[in-house]
Amino acid sequence: MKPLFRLPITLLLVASFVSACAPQPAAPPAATQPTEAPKAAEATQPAEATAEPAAANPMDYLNAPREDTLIIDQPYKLETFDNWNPYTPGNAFGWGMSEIGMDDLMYLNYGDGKYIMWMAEAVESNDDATVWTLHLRKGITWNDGVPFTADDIVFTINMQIKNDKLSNHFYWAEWLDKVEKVDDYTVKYTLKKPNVRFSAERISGGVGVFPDIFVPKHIWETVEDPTTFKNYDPAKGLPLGTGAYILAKVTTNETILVRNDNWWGAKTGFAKLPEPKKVVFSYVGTEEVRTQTAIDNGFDSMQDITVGALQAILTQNPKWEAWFKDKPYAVPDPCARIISFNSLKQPWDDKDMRKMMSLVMDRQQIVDIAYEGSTTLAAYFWPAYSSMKPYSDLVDKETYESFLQPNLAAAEEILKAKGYVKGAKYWAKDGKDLAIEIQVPEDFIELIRVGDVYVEQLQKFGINASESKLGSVFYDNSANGNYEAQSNWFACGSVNEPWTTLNTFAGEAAPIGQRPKGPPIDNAFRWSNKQYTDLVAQIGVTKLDDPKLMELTKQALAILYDELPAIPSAQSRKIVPFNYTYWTGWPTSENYYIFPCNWCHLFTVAMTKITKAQK
Amino acid sequence: MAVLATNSNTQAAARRVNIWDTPWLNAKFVTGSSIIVLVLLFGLLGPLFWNTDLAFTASSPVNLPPMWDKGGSPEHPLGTESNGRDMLAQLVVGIPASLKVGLLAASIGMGIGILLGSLAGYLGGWTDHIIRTITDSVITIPSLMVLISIAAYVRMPDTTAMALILALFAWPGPTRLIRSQVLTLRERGFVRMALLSNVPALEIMLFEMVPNMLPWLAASLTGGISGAILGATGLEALGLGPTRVPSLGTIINYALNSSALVRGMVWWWLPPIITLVIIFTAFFLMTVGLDEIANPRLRGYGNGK
Amino acid sequence: MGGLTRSYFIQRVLMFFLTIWIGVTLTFVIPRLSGSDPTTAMLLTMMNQRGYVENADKIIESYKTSFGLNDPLPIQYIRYLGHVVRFDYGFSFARFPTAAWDMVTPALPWTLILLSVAAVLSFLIGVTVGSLMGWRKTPRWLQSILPISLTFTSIPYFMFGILLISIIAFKLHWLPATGGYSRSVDPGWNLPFIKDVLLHAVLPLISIVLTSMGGWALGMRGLMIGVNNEDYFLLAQAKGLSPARVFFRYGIRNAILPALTAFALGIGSLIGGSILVEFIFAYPGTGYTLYRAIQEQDYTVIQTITNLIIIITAAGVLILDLLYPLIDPRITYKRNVAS
Repeated sequence: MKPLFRLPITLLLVASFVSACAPQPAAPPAATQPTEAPKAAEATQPAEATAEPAAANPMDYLNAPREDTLIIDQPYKLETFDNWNPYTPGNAFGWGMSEIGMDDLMYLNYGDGKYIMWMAEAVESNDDATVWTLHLRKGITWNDGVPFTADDIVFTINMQIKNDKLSNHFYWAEWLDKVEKVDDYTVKYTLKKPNVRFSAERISGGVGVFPDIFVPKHIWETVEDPTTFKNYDPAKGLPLGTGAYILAKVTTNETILVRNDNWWGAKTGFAKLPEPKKVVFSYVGTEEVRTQTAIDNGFDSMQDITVGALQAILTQNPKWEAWFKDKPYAVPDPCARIISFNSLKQPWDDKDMRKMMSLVMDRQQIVDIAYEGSTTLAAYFWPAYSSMKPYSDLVDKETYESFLQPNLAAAEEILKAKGYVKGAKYWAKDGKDLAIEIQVPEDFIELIRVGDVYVEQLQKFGINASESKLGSVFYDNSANGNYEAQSNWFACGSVNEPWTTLNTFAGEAAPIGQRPKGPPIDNAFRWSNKQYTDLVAQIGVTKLDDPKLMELTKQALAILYDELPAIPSAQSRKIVPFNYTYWTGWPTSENYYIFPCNWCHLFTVAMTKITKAQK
Repeated sequence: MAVLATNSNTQAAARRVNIWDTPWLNAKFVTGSSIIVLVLLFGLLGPLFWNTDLAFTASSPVNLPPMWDKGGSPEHPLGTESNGRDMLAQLVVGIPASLKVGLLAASIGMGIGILLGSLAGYLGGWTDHIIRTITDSVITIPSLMVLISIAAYVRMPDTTAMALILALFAWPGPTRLIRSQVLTLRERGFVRMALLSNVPALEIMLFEMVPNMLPWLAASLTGGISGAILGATGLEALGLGPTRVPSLGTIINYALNSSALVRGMVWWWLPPIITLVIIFTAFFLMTVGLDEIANPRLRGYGNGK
Repeated sequence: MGGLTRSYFIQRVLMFFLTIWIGVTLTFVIPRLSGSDPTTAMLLTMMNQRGYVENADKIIESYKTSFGLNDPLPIQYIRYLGHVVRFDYGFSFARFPTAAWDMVTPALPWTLILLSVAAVLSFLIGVTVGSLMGWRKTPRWLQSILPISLTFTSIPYFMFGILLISIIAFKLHWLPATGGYSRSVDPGWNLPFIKDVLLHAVLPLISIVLTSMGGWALGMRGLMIGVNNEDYFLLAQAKGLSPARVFFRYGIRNAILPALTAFALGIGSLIGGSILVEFIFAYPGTGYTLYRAIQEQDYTVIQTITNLIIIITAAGVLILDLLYPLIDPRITYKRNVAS
């Protein structure tokens, strides 16, 4: 079955969507108009919340014709239709609100590594990166007309500090001394300790971290318990955002947002008012059904599909186009795929054995078969983005190239040196066949297919490899160290600086059976190297423009590629085709103005760029 | 009625003079079992004629159509799929794997069912209460939920584990129905007669009751086998089966995951389904045939007599 | 007719509660066997939405404490039994702060209506087909056609569903493909909405009925064959009653009792099996919610749905057990109990 329950796709991207059975429409109570094309525009509707002198009642746009509508594919079902509290685990914010109902302070374009300033005008820090100052644009308003100011930001952060069940609580508790309003348009963050990536982590939300979603102080200050507040009441204009779109209707499988013609961005002339009058986030079922819906022009934009589905779409509806017009089609996902070893389990505690495992891996075959050519050959722990190139080039050239093709002879040498003898089928030592169990998440087809191919390569070479597909226990095993090897993406994080990924390997190895204590919470690899950890700590406090950064990173990478607590298996990919029947101007490899992610905050930027297709 | 039943049995025995007149030569039963034997042979002898290593990932070129289609090759007569597996090899390996699951799970379930069911029905009293309560409880739990939970956490190197998991839920059905069958039979003349004449319990069960339940048992077993095959296929198609060695369900799983349907790769998703239909039909014919064998009077019905 | 005695009745009812208790206990135990931590799934959802969660172990502890997952198992179990009695299991673990019950109620009517219609239809069709197959007097042409209808049973549910969708919805455009209703209608008691809901239910219905009726048919066929040999049946035929009368009055009526038992017992697995159908058709029912909950170790949602199924099934069995001696004079429970 398709991504039935692919829990986590990548730590990073993927916004919410978790499904639900919500038969009741979120539509305003009055919405019982018995017509096929409902005149949803009851005057008494939620939108009176938009007290501004609206050119039109946004709810009129519920009747917008297909050519004014943008339909976005959702691969999961909406389960908690009435929870729009962005700080709780099971909310529906990813059904439109976080993509186009909100604005971020700034957006990162992975293509060139540059920031697009949005609600923020500038961010700066003092020399030791302990005090950060944020300057807001003027004229930003919530969709009910109330101005968005420094107060809202300070309120949102303090609310999280006060409440340890809100998702960013421990971040702020760890780093933030205090946050203050300087004036309506200036916020000052004072940190407990230096953090050179504070802007990337919390203000822009690069990758690995999503920026805070701000909540309107004038609504939330009266809320008693922000952990159980549902933030859902369309009649009162909740959920309330600053974005160009307002949540108008929720059905069992869809959410519908309509354009707010009074959006601050257009009014201040800072951005173009997006053209689509209505945006539908729609779940139609399995990939087969999604694909056929796309062929029938039922979607304008799809969320990560398989190569097979893409080929079916491209051959049956020429109006669809992927990121690249030809192979590899896909845009690289920020999380590179790896095979991680448990460095506390024999014989994988031996770096030569891990190296041997890497020598057996035929990465080109993984690209050709597991990915059907939809990704490119690379052996990094981070994405091969141009923004990462300066750091990628720090890996010793010869070492790097040795990863690009298998070297079975060298692998045999290592095994012989370790006292292994090749039997009829498998290498063995002391009468025991060399075996390894590779765990994969059962709902993550891409990783399963990587595992499938790798297992065959190992079997052919003479290692009794097996693959276990596991449910959410996969993640427990990772945290508690109950595995030999896993096919995963747990070195994920870096997109325009090296520290985040390098840091996933740093720190002490927690004993098997215990969760690693944070921070750093990661190191699921159970690998510890004092020298490496020290280097990473230094990188962590070195500013990006400091020349020292390159030298430190180079040293850390040398250790990493020698010790190999994990081995890179493939660059990941997302196949996100767009339909040019009704809308054009989509981001492509040739027109890379933003990462093509219709489930990310970044989509707000794309919305302002797309235009109606000429008939 | 008891007299009638006994009579017909003796008549059947008397008629069996010519060895070729044995009821086991029932056309439906023979056809059904021949199909199953052929399917089994395909799996057992297949490896002699075809390289089963081609059933593994990355062993063949990807996405080749069958040899009769444009672009197909005699190297891979039934074509290959997106993971570089040869379809013919996958069927050779997958069919016996699926049959094994069905046989194993259904036999275990049936065995436990006969034992518990007849104990409960015949002995009654506390034995009956205990067995019934347990059976009822297990029946009321939605098995799919448990199967999914278990399958998602148990590591499955091969299909045996899958068969055992399915067997967990294959016994309460037979137990309950056999029990009620035994209850009904107990009240029948010939059993009562046996009871009155102090025939030992075991003997009554074996010689009076079981033969009378035979049609039902046979139908239930063959039905159970196809049920278990379907159950296993269902779980596997959801991606909860063994990984390396293909079975009919895993072939379907990979086909669904790779959009074989919209891609028009008929040679990928259709063969496992056709195979399932054939296996199912064969077991159905066997069931019908078995009924007729056990119930001589049914012989020939449906032939217009 | 005297089969139903008071002690028998009390016994049955006690057994009913015992069954539920055992079932409910298994629902408590089974999800915990996996060794996976429900808060992990919660954290993952959180990470999917919010990115890297700093100090994840602390957040996990915070939630575990408030869900009472750090308490000793016996205490958790007793608290759980209290939930069962009140039929309120608290918050969904994976979807906090939505209550488990709130995850289920909106989905319940969809599932109940679709499944009860599907179950009854599939049972009626299955029983008719099965009886005709097991009846000696069925015309030969019918005898040879009927088994073909059973082959649907051998096609996995969802494969069949996908085929239906691709042919009927996408190739022929006769019916909507998936979902509960279209985005253009407004839910409520209005004609377009009801019509739309019915249209959307057709494909899932067909797919459940066709793939599940084979089971009933096979069972009924066996039972009918048994009846064929009964004295009263032969007598009725010998008396020269019309075939239809013999078929219904003496055939089906006698063979259907065990089939009804199977029907009551099958309710649970039908609801369970509908998971797949609901998933394929993106139908807004409980099946999908349950599936998701299992994957995410969402104990409270699993318990809400599973225990509901357990109670419905157990009640079906109880009613049947109480009616059985009234309907089938051949069974007297007194005797059974006595021996």
